[in-house]
Amino acid sequence: MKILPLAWASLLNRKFTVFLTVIAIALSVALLVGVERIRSGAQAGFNNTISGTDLIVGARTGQLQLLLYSVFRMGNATNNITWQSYQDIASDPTIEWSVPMSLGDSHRGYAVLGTSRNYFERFRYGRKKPLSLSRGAVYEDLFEAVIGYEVAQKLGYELGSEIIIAHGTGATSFAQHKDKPFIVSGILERTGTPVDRTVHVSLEAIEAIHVGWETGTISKKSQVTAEQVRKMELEPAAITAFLVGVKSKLGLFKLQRAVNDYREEPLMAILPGVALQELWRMLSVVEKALFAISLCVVVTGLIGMLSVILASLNERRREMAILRSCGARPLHVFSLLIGEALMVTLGGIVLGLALLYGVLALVGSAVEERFGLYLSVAPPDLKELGLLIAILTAALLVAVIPALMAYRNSLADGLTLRV
Amino acid sequence: MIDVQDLRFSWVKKAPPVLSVDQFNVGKGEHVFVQGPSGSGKTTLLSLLGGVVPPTSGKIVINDIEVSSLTGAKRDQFRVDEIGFIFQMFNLIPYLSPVQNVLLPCRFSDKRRHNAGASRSIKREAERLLSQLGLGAELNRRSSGALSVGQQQRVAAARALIGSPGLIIADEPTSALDADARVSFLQLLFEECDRTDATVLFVSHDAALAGQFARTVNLKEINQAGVAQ
Repeated sequence: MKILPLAWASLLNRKFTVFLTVIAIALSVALLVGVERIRSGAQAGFNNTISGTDLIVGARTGQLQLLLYSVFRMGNATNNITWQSYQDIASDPTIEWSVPMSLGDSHRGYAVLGTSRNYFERFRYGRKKPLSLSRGAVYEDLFEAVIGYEVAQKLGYELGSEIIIAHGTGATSFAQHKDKPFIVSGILERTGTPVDRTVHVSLEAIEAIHVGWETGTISKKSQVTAEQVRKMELEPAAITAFLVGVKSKLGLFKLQRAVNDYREEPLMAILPGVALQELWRMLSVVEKALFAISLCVVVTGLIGMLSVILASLNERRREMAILRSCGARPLHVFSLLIGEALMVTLGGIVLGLALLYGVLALVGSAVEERFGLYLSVAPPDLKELGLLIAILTAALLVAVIPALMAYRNSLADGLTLRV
Repeated sequence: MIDVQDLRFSWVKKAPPVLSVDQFNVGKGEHVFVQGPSGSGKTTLLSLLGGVVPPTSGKIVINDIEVSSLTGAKRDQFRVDEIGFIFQMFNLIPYLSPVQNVLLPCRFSDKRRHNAGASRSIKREAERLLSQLGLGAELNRRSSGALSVGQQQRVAAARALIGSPGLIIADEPTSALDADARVSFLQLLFEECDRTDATVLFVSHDAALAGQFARTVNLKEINQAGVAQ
């Protein structure tokens, strides 16, 4: 208590250098906590992409690949499931519901998902939140589509807008189903999941636009008009994947094994939670790298503080001797320097958090809008508090170096005042 | 007040002593001028009296306290309780105001704080000392670093005097002042010391100041060790 006011006065006397040091530490704190915010936001968003689905079934491939194309609309399926197999498995008595999914086409870079109407009832994301429409209704007509929030936002679509679906995926496709345009019948609420970036149509619609495309391209000869298609039998021959909900979790693994051992064609069933975790473990390499970089920045900030204190040490020998002549013990000299480091670091932490919250408040909603990443402006959680305490501890440990030097100097110098 | 017996001191173990004083006594309230050229062991003597370093052998008693037998932390406490120091120059902590500088010993010594606050608040006592030494209240708004050397030395004197320590040790405090300022500085210092009956030990190489003191001691005469030629 004798020393802290002195430490404060001493810092005030060197406002400019001290301020720069505080800024350096503040930036490192803001970066470290910011990266942690992004990580937790990304992880939460990631784990929220699908919930309430017990199994995802697709053609036999890797667990991650199936997850990527069925949930994240990334990549393509290597193979399809025949409609026959789907119906066969879906009729299993332990299954409560199943939703078929047909992927492979796109609209201006956004995936087109052909699915049944019960997709909108059964699909859950986040904490088992259902999908809901902000405007319009689920498709009734063959050539109607329900679009995700981002599709509507980015492309400026309203109810009644006309959509032309391109054959295959990719933002620019030369093969388009121009003859059979779709009308937007509904727009979904924002979910922060890949659903926002999806155009939903019925399974029959996917069949309809592909009539005459059996060879992979369209020829004049095989072209069928929209009117003719409406009169056709449009039962799909194959789908890409399907989601399953079981009646009881007890039968889940038995069902999974049954699908994996299905004799008619090679299929696989994955548990979405397990697959999501595996995928996150892969992605978390990036997150760990970011964390390591921001730790390095913190170390840089602390080294900056150390060098500022060390540089001042020699010119302060006289000051220490005066303090000694006025009764300060070597321990007081030691705690003077520790106290200064403590104040600088605390100042850095407070300023850094202020900076971070300022930035979050400023760009948080824009980041959520553009990247679907929710960054909370909440007070630091336990892990973040742990990081801050670790920074403070590291700063004190670093400050022991100059403090010990000053301690030893003041023991050696005594009252001899060196200019 | 000061009672030194058979004092031996060397900075390096087993080396011949740099300071060797068989007997040195100063009575209470005395003003003693210790004269000696550079390297005659003046600073070493002050370090020993102030308890900064312990003697190799011998006894130092100041104000009935045997300094030579005190341990480290007790020596630090003794120093601030019993002694006010004034050094050659650059005496002040630059980031503290003149009054805060004067109050520094009160921060580390309950005894000095108690003495200083006996009649009124310690801040008023600091201001009284400053004005007694010819420094007006307007100086307080200035930073200590902005004061002239003469003003700084007077602030340092006020700091040595606050809380009425029994002994004032001055190590060439006037060497940076011109001749007129030296005499007036000494007069002001003595005036305050006499008020509290403080003993003054004034060390300087400048024999011209000896006339101001009742007693002059030549360090070369009391120090038997032939030091630092």
